[in-house]
Amino acid sequence: MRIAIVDDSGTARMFIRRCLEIAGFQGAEIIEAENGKDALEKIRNAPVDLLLTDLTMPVMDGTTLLKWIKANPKLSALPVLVISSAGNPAKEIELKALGAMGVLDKPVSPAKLNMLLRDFLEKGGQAGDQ
Amino acid sequence: MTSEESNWTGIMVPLISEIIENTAFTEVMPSETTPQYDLAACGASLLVHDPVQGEFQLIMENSLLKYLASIVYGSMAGELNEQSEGDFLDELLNTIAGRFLSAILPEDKSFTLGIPERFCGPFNVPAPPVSSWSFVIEGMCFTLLATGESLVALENR
Repeated sequence: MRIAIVDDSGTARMFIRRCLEIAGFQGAEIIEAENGKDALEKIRNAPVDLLLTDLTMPVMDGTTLLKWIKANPKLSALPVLVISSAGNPAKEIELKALGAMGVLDKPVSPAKLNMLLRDFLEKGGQAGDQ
Repeated sequence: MTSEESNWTGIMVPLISEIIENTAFTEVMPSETTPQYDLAACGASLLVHDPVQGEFQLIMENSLLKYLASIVYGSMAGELNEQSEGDFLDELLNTIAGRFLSAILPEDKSFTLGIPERFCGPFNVPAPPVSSWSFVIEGMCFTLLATGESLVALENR
């Protein structure tokens, strides 16, 4: 399984990576990107099974990335989970309408991540070591 | 306006405690006084663009920043350097500001934040209106400030 983590903060990417490992995804191959444009370039060249993204990023933000993914027939089925501190109820409704599978508040915890991704796994995704 | 006088203290203190405890597994104590920071401290600022205009600043003693970053980075603490410590400070401020605005704004109101920027001392308190909250971890201090007329005006609504 290949998972993309998109966040301009190296600290956030490292923290999410560790949460994924604790949540049971320690066998997954992690692709890191610093913004939406960087992520699109990386996942076009090597598709991923799941994408976790922040919202506020330079160059291309998470909302724009989500729109690009859902508008591209080759990428539109990719599950996108938003992990952000800017995800209030209004934003969550907007992001889900755009196609996000869920929105998690920062700081994310392994338990919260596991709970949300369990649904994804039951719908056909596979965790590395599960 | 210090933490003792602020109407937002009941929101800010538990929020910051929760964020620090969930990221660095460390207990935070509110401080009744705002410490004087010298050059052995660093700061990050973050603009609020919409629906109000203002700025959050996070100022932290260097020793506390190194302490918290080493906990967060855990087994990767050997890779810590000035850049990764600053990145941790930015991310902490971003998380606090976003969660705080989510808590104080109506549920149907989105908000837009800028990108965190780092700054060094001397650390002068910004011109009023300003609200501040200070905290202590293991004897080391940090302070969060909120400035900007339309942001701070929300406090009294």
